[in-house]
Amino acid sequence: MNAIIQARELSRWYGIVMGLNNISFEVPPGLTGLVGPNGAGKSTLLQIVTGQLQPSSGTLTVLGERPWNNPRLLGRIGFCPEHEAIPADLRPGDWLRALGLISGLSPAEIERRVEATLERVKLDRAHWGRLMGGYSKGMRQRVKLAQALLHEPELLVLDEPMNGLDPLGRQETARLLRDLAGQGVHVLISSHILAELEPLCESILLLNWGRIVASGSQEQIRANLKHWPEALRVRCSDPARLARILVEDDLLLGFDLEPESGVLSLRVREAEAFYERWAGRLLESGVAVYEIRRLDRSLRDLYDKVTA
Amino acid sequence: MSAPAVTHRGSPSPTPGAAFRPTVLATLSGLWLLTWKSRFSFRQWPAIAGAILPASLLALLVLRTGTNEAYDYFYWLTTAYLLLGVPLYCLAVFGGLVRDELQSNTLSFLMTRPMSRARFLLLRFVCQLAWVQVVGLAAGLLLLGTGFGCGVPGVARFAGLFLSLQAVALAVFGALANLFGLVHRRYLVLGTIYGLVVEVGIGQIPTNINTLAMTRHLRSLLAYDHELARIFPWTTEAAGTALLVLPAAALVFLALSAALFTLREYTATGETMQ
Repeated sequence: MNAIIQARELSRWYGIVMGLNNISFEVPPGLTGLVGPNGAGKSTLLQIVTGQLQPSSGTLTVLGERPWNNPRLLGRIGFCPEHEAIPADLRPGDWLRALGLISGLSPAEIERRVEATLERVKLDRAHWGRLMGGYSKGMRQRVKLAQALLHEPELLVLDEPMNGLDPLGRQETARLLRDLAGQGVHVLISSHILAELEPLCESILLLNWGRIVASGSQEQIRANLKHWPEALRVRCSDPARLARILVEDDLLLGFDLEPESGVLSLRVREAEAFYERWAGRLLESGVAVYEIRRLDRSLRDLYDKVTA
Repeated sequence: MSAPAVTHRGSPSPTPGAAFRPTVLATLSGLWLLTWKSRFSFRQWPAIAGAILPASLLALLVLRTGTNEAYDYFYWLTTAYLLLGVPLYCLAVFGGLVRDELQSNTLSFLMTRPMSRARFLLLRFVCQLAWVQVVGLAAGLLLLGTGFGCGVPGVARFAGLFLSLQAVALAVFGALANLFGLVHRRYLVLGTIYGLVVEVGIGQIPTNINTLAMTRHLRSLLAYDHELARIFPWTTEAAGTALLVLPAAALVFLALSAALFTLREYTATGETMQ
């Protein structure tokens, strides 16, 4: 499957401040989520994708072309920025008409699409005649999304599009993005809230401090998590003895003892190796185990771990 | 329960080549629509009035308090308004052509459209210039009307030359201010330094180096009015050079701006980080 976006050893610096640090990745067709805490480099990456910034080093191609100063490519991309700002002195229809002209749509096509797009993003018709300066955060998000959809792009790049939307608005936006993906539009969507993207996107790019922490389909990322350090909570008859045996075997990164409650919290070095030897060592120790709970194995746990 | 993740079945480019390629006229129409709708909106009326009225009110004050009516009025109209006020107004309005959009975070909506960066900048300048010319025409007519109404001799004859030179001055200083705005975010400081060094300083040196000063060329052309040539020590000696230099300078400033805008990034993130 051809990648929509390909980055090779991509770095971006703002003077001495690092935005992106030597990252390589591919974004497959369909819906891809870009997740990371604030300051992770998401917006920098999206600005490079949409031709607003240039890489400091490395390469990035979108639909096979470099985005900087590339009108042909930009005509195939729709971009919805993170910030709330929209022209305050304009009505949504006027704004979309102007952007439609700049995007190369014919006046007749613009008239048809402006109405259809505003309806598609569910901007209440009662607000169409108002100046956008008086719009709520949620209404601004809808108009911003509308301007990105107006020229029916092949790739939609959305920077935190759910910000400011109420739960219903989030659901509607998610539904709209699924519809678009079903129609063959590729969507790259960023958020600092993984829960927003987990149910929506098949592929995830997890970014932190300008580095890709994990990437691929959610399934692939979960499979890779097997090699990550893992945390367990064990309630047993003799936690101190169990801890000593596991430390002797060099299976742990660390542990916490709660002798009164018989709880041993373990930080395991490598999950697979640990589970291979765990049962045998447990039998040898003679310690009675009442409960074992794995604390971090989901994508969300990984996200929490890297963003903590 | 949340819905399952979407599995995409489309090809990477479902409609290759379907992207639209706007013509220059289409881009210009779109940018003009944005300029016109935002600059002439009801909320902008106070700003427009603030740009048009003060010059005429001050001219009225000058006429009421001055001793030599014709000298005072024409001095105000040319030296204070055309050669000082217009460049400063251009600095404020054109210097922020890109920076204001950057500051209000609306530039990315335009920069991600299918047009080259140079085309965007030049057409945006054209739209801004058209708007400024309308405001300038209104301010100029009001100024001339003030002089005419107060019975200053030669105002009617001077009107055509004055309005033409104002249009030229707006274009030249607009292009220069646009360049300053792209060079540095403190374009007001940059423009003030330029004004003091080049227009006030070098412009007064009685050698050919003073051709660097745009106001000197405007003075040469202003001298075509007999009344002004009589009142002020200006001559039309270098008028031919002025006719060549002024449009050429505007084109050079625009070309430099376009080149700079093509090579350099202008994003809110970059501004903040740097």
